[in-house]
Amino acid sequence: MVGGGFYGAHIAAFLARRVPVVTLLERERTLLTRASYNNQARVHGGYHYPRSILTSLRSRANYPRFIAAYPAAIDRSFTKLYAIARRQSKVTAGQFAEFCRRIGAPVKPAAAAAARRFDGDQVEAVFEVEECAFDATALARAVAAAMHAAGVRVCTGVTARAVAPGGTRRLRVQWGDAPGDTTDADVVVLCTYSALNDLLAVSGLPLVPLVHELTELALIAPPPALRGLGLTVMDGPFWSAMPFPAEGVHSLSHVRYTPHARWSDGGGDGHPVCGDDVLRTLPASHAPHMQRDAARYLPELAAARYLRSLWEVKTILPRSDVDDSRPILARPVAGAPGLLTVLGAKIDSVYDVEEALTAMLDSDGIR
Amino acid sequence: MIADVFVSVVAPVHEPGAMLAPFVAEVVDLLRQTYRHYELILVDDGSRTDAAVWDAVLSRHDGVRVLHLSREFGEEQAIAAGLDTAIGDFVVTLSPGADPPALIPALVQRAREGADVVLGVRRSRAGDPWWLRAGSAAFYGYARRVMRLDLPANATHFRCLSRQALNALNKLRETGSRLRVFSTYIGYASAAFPYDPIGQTRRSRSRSPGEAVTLALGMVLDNTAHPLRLVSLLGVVAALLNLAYAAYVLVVYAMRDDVAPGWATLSLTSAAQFFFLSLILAVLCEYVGRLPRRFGTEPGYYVREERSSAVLLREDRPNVVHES
Repeated sequence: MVGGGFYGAHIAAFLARRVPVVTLLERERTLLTRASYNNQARVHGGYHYPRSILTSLRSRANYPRFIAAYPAAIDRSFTKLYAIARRQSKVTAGQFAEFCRRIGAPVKPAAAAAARRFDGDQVEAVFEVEECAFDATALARAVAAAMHAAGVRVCTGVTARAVAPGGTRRLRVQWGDAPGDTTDADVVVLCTYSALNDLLAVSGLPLVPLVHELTELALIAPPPALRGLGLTVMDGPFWSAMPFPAEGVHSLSHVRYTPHARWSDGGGDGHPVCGDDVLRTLPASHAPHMQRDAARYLPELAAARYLRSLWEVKTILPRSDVDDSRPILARPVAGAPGLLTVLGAKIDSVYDVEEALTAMLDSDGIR
Repeated sequence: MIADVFVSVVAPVHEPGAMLAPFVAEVVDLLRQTYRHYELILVDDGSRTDAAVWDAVLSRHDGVRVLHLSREFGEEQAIAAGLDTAIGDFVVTLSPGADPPALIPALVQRAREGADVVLGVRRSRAGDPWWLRAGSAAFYGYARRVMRLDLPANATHFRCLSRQALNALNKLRETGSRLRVFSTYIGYASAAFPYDPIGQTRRSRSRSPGEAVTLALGMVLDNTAHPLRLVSLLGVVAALLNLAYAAYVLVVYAMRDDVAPGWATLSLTSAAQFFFLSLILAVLCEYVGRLPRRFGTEPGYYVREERSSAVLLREDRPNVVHES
């Protein structure tokens, strides 16, 4: 397993139940430091996709599994409010309530005291839903324990440089400068997200068409009255402010202002853009934009104190590759038998990857 | 000296063609040099312009948003759509081609000095034909005396609103001509900002007599039930006249002997009919006049798509190739 984010670590533990020896290589010193940490920390309950009922149904199915698997990382100590914008929203309050009913997601009108915090002119209705956040640090501990229990050999601070057919097994992973710094394996799973095409290109393998976004998540200290609330305004170019349990603060993200730049690679010629190079020169923060827009809907947020921003390169599939509303890529690499790439989306949809991987290993004859 | 405020600029555009790129470049350069934070919201009022034109602008400049309306809703609605999504501390509206972007800092400065609403006012109507000048004078006089709205004469779309004034404006659910009358309606401190529009283009988009009358009529009908009150008053007067006529018929019938048979019956019937008709019309007018206040909630525009700047990474970005 190359990549020790949540997907890599979880899948490594999953695979170790099926194959005798699993080794995980992670470039950073600790697990779950990149995209698994630098995100909203939302465990999706399906509420986010009123225009894609399939995605929502998958979220509904995965939500209880994730919570049951990692109870120590779950934070449900806050009230989760979803507000439907009155103008320029793609769904109405009535449609949202009906959609929640259809996917079986708990929803009820928010308590009057909570709803009154929103500007009634900007917001059509406020709902209270059941959703939670995860603590990325606790999740890292839990998933490390799961790997330990399953017998996964975890190597942090080790960067996979290249992977190619050959060696004593089907594939050889080069992870150091010396010629002997290699590990041989029958199956190698690449779970490296923004660095995926970089690794494939160096290895001389065909690239995967990917879209990358430079994203900014603002961390804020909300005014005391908002501390126990997770807030989301739907559905369109709106925002969310919710607890970020790993640091005991709130995160603020905005559909319009969180993505800063977008580029694609793997589609044609040229070496793929390395995500780390992009993160070296950051643009001006959009936090003032996010906070100003959010305060239009919830005036109290104007008093929130900006702390810092978490920057990350978010890697997603080009829209044409998203079928069945499950934007998860798990596919073999042509020309390198045993080499698989995995690209997850929401943290709780890791179970969809489990299914896909099982099918691939079955067809590969690996028991 | 970069001012530490967030300024939004809302510009309605319709079939912009070749003027779009230089306009955006001028505004964005100015905003970037003047303010810490800025955004330029282009509201595309149902143009059929090629997508590549918008793409070119979005990929070249930072802080630009394009709001594509689903069809042409008119300049007022396009501005309203932009105002609904603007996030700045101060929001400037302007018509590209007519209002000079170079005056934005001066306009915003007036607002920062305390005027919640700064209205651009044309220095002169010298370029307008006589009928337009006479008509607008009559309209503004009517508005002041009858509608009790002290509209600033010769105001244009070139305006600056503070966040406070904009929030109040957005609470007004009336659509249509709300923007033209808002400054007096919401009652915030306002200031006039005299300036000269860009001459050449102004002439080309000046209104025809029909358009001017329609606009004035629309503003009157949207904002006052006064004409309807006149009609209902007329109805009451007509009802009273018919009542008087009925009395006259009865008096003639009682006093004189040479009344033609049937004249009194026919006259009384028609007088009664018209009395009731006029009364009913007058009452109906009063009710109709109250309807717009209750049912003015339908959205005035529909957004088809919203897109933001996605400035590609700089070309000189280090493109490190890791050799294995």
